[in-house]
Amino acid sequence: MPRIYGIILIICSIIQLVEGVRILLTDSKNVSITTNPKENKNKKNVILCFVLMISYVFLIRYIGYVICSSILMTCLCILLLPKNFKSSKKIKIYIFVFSVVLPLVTFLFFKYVMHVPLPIGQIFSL
Amino acid sequence: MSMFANFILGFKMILTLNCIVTIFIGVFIGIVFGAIPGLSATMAIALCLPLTYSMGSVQGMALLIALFIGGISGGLISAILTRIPGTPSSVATCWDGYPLTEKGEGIKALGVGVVFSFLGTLFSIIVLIFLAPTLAKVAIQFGAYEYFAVAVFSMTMMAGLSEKSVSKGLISGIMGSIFATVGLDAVSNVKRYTLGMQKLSVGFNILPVLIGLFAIYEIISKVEKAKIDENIVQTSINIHSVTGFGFSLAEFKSQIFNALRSSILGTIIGILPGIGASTSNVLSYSIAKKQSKYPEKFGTGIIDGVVASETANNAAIGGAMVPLLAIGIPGDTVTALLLGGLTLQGISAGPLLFVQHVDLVYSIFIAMIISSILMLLIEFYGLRIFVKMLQIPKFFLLPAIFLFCIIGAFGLHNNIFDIWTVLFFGFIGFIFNKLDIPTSPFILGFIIGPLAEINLRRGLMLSKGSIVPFFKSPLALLFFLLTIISIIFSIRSHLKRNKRRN
Repeated sequence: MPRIYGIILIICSIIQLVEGVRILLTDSKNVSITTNPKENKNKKNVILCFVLMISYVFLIRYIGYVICSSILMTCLCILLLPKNFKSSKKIKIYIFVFSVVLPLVTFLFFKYVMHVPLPIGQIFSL
Repeated sequence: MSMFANFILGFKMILTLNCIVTIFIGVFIGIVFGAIPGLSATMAIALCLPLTYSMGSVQGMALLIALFIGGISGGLISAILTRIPGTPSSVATCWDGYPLTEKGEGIKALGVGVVFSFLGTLFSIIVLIFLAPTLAKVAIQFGAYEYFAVAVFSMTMMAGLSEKSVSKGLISGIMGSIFATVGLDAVSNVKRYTLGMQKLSVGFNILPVLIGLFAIYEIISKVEKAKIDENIVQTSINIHSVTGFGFSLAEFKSQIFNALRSSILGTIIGILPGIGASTSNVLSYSIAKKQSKYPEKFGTGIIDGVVASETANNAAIGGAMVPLLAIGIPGDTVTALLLGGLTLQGISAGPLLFVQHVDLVYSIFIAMIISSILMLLIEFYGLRIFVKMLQIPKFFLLPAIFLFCIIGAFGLHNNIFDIWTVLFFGFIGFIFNKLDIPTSPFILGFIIGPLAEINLRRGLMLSKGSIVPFFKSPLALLFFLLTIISIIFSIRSHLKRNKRRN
């Protein structure tokens, strides 16, 4: 039986390949690639975002949900902040308060109301 | 048991303070998610699924359904007031809704939208109530052959009708099916594609996959566009001066035929696998325009357009629930999530649901009716709150959503591995979007792929390896024929579109 399934998968892959090649052929004809300098900057942000998220999952095991989330949320907020807000100090204070309060509240809510214990972190549980 | 007795049973289950409050909150959150552009009904349900872990099956399903109904309808608020559709289901609402606002008749547009959303939902629920049990009676005779045929049919529909390109839809769907094969194989318990990882042997759960594909992708794409700040045009609306819902009885009467046509269309589109509310509103709008006596007025701000779009997108809700409850096959991403919600409760959707959990089925029906009534009231009278919600800046909203994604994924098995899954599929979603491949077929392939596989193999075991009996069963044959027709149809329409482009 697994062999039959394997064959189906191979057929699927072949379909995919053929379709993929077809797409490549049709696309290369009518797609004009436009790149502008602005996009490069945004790519940097996207990569930064991924790095942030990945390091978040790495760290959550060690330093726990609350602290880790606070740090991540502050960073994400700043990443998402439009330019015209950047200079405002008030917004930054808001962001900081918001990023500390929300993880705390959700942590307590899920622990005591929903009975889902979020990770507290190894360094605290020692 | 008669249908009436079943309804009484359902009422008994739903009419508790807990359930009503849950539905109220669900509809409210749903409308908020629907109203804010970039957040959709799918995301609302994905993020609220963790909340149902500790609820009973009735309350949990009531919450998810309330979110569904609120989420599909909520998109009209931002569509009418700001010209940005809150969800893909309200794209066509903008075309006539926003011009109405510009004319100063925003409140009329909102009233019409809300009321006809309600009527569309109600119509589709009635269809659901009568159609689903009948279909389930047919489906209960389905064997492996028939199920396999239905699954294949759904796969081709989702690939063909989903979006721009047939091949891209197919690629996405097949990728979904491939990811679904990770883990223990359902028939013979062989480990597949686990890459030696112990944790992969249970496979990917649908919830982290969905959260990753939709929510994480949304955050990443916003990060990408963060430099371009968006200004939401704020239109102020005076709600106090209006009596009723802002439109006259004569206007209502003039729209009855339009609404009926849109409801029927929306429900049928909902029933078909692969397409749902986001297709029905545009299609219904264009049909209403074609059939209208004054097609030139469409787009300038007449209520006909709002009626056609909003009735049809909400009518797709009840339609989408039909195959989910009766056959156990979800037609779109939202019903896929509802299926996930049912599975979390240890209930498997399908024809047996109508035998083993009649009470749950009827309480779902009643929850749908109550949700739509609450949707009507909350959406219209709470309008000012939702308009305020539109102003919440994205840089507060998205990190908060990320947090809930993490909690949702973690809460599933109390396992950090699931968070990795979320990130991984977020990355896949991002790449898919860069390559212009639609993501919804991925989810459907993820769910329908294993279904097709299990039934194919069961069927082959029954027939001792021969493929012939698959084509001997009349029902299966019918679905195979439908499959071929749908493939031909979608390829033809694809070719036509290509020609037009050239």
